[in-house]
Amino acid sequence: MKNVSKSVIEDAQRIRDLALVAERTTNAVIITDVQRRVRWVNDGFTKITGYTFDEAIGRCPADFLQSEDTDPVTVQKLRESLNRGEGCRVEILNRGKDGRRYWLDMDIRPIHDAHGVVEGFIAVEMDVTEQVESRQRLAAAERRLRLTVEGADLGTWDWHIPSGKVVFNDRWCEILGYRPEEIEGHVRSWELVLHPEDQKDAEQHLQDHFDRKTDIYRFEHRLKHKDGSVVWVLDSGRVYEWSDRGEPVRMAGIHLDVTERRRAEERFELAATASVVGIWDRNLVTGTTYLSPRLYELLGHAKPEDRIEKLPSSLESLIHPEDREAQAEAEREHIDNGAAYEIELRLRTATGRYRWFQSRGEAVRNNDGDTIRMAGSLQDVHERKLLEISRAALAKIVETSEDAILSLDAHGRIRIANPGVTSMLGFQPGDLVGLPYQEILVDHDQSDALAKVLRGELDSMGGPLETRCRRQDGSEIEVSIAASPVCDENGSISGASMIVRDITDRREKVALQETTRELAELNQLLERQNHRLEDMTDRAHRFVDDVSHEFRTPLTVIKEYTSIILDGLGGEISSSQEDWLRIIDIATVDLNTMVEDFLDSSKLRSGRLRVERRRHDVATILGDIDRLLRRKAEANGIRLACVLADDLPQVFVDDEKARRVVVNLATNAIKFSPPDTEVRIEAVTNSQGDIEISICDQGAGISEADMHSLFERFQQLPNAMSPGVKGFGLGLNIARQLAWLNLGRLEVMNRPEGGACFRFTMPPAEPRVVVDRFFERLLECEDRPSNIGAIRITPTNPSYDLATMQRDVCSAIRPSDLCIEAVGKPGLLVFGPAGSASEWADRLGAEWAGDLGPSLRIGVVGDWEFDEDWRSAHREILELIGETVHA
Amino acid sequence: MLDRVLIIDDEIHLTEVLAIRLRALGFDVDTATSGILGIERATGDPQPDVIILDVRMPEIDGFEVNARLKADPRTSGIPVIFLSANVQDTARQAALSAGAFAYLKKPYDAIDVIKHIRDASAAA
Repeated sequence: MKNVSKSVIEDAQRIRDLALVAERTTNAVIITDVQRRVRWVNDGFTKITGYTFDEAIGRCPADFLQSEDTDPVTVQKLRESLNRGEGCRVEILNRGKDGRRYWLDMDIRPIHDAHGVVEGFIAVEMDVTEQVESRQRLAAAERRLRLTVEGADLGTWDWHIPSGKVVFNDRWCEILGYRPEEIEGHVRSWELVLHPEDQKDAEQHLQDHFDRKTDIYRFEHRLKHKDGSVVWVLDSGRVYEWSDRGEPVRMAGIHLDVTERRRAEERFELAATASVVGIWDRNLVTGTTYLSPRLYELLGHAKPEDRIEKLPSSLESLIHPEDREAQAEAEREHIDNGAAYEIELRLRTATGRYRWFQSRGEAVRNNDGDTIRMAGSLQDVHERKLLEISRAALAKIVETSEDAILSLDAHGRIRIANPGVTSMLGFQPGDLVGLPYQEILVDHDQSDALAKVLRGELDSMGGPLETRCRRQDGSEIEVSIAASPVCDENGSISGASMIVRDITDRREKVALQETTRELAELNQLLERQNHRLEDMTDRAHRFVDDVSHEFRTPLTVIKEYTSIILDGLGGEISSSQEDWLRIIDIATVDLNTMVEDFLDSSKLRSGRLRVERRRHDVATILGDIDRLLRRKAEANGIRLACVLADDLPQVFVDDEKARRVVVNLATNAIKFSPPDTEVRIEAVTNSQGDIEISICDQGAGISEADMHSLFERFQQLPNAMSPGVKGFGLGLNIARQLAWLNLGRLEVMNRPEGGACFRFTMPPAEPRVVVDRFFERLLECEDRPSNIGAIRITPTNPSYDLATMQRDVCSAIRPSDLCIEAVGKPGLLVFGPAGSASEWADRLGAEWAGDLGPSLRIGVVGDWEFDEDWRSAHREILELIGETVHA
Repeated sequence: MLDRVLIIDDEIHLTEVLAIRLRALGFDVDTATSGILGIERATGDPQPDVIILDVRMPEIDGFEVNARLKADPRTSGIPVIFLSANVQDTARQAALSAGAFAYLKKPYDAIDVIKHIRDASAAA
């Protein structure tokens, strides 16, 4: 009993402890009756389910805790166990008061009464939601991985490094052609099939990973297939377990069979290397371009591996500027509208020269449909392109040729004819097709050589055949025919080409040449005669020189002795003696003037009169004149007045020539004036800026009829005043020419108040004015339309022919120092001092003989004072003319 | 003391008439009727201050005379005025290039000749 009570006390104690556990545990504890109605729940229950003791009491937990999500199998198992009065343990998904699903690990045990009869159940429930869910996630992940591995045909391996044991999956073995049972689960199974050449690299890759240099071991290598072939695998894995000492313990990874890809790559490389095609691949996003080695070779670069030069990094930079737009357009068309990308363009090669290439390509798009790459091929089509171009050019030549070009078949029938047949023979090209070529020939026999060419008996006709062709309208023309056989690819003659040329013109040309030759002979004859004539002229001029020289000495003797007697050096003379001596003196002066005129006229005619233009004061020129003419004027009863305007500028003249003009004109005026009248010499600046000297008399003036011929040589005016006074009639002619040589003009007019007035001009010593006067001279000389265009001058006499021109210009140039020389370079004009007058004249003659361009060279011979003023005038004139020439 | 002028001309009348004119003006005048004689006079004593020289002369012409005078240090400093009936520009040019002081033409203007003699003498 004591034991019983002790046991009872102990039991009570135990029950209290248990009750305490039941109350305090975080697990839910539920006690039900045999009908499974809740008799008691603890706080843990409320925490998990949300239901309070009062809410749970008397209710069956299955009714309010289970839901449609609860596994019916579990419910069934639970129900059966409880029905049998047995306990059970299940995982069950329940729903809390707030609707939350939670997993419970439920342990239900029956409660027996003293008689062993089940009187209820006690359930201890633990919330295992987290565990269950993570287990489920894991399972799902494993399932996914398995599916992935299987679906991707991945071989897997799991390697225990210390033991060398490896778990390979079936696929791993299958990749190598083995059944799983044929592969030992050891790392040496891999080592055995590893390609010897990859062994070292494999070790290195693994070691790098073991040394934690790489995050992932990744190595593409070759394995030996069971059938002996090579299998390429992409091997990748990582150590997932390390020892405490940092040594790798377990490592897992996969094998992906990449043999096909590698083969494709190899084939590609092989193709790319072996083919004549270069490959390009341009990434439009990154802007980088891959160019295959072969492509570099096509562009004339050394192989990329040689790396001896900087290689172009893109094709775009090499495109010929003229082709860039077309290329960009083709690319746009391809990307935007799907047109085939195929273009022929020129690319700059390593030598810097361009070659023709054909580029074909395709756009590569991403999932969004955006073009991200363009890849394609490049082929050298240079030779073909050049051939095409030259063929096109040839075709153009054939099309536009004036010759008739025919293609004949092996039987001599016309296959093709060019448009040349129309213009030459009047046939349309189509009219002739199918006809035997003899149809167009007038004389068939002559075609023998042609026939032989066609039969292949002759390689060529041995020079063109000259014969006649029949035109469509029945007329005939002279032609030359050249023919050569055309061979097919087997070398047998398939026809001939025939070129028919109209030689009517040529025959005419031959005739023309003949005429030209005769003319040349005639010309030579003329030249010889010309030379003789020149010789004679020279002799005549020399004769004049000699005569005038011989005249001068006695003239000087007479003049000087008269002079010393008049001056009283020989003693006193009577007044009548003095008058007579003055008559001798004046006659001597007249005679001397005539000799001078004679000589000057001769020089002017032959162009041997030199001009030395310099700066001079007008007063100096006129000062001597007064003295020279005073005596003569007095003798004629004429008043001589010499008036100079104030502030006359200097003139640019040959002073002696200028003086001669005044003397000539004044002598004339004195000669033609009635006694007791005035001859007035006046110098002023005129409106053109030239210095104008006028010599006016108070005589009868000059008749209308005389006005025109006044300045001609040997023209004598009737002299009412002194009928006995005569000259050669050269004076006015010489005066006008001398005025001209001084870059001036000599004019005459009758004064309204009576009397004649001669005026001549001289340029002031102003460079621009002098240059202007030169150009006015050009204006008078130039007859060549091209030259006129060049300096915009118009000939005063359009009817001048070249010969007249040459003679006049040359004669003008020799005395006037002005040269016009045509030179080869357009627009070049030289204006300045040059060589001797005769040298210029020679050049001028020589160059005028040829047909020269529109440019001129203007040289000025003489004493130019090339100070800064003149140089700048020179520059200005060059600019002026330069502009005009280019206008 | 006025200048001493040497006139070299084969035309004796011309030499004379010019000499009369110059002497009347107070010049000391010497004459020579040939080039050779002229050179002798030019190198003799007293030497002329100015030489008037004709061109066309027998034996040696005016150009040659001038050349010899210029080549001789004793006479090279004496100014030479050509006085010639040869009015060719080429002759005038040649004389001036050969160092002549002036080239005057016959028939001459006596005033002009005298002016040149004075200028030459002043320049020498």
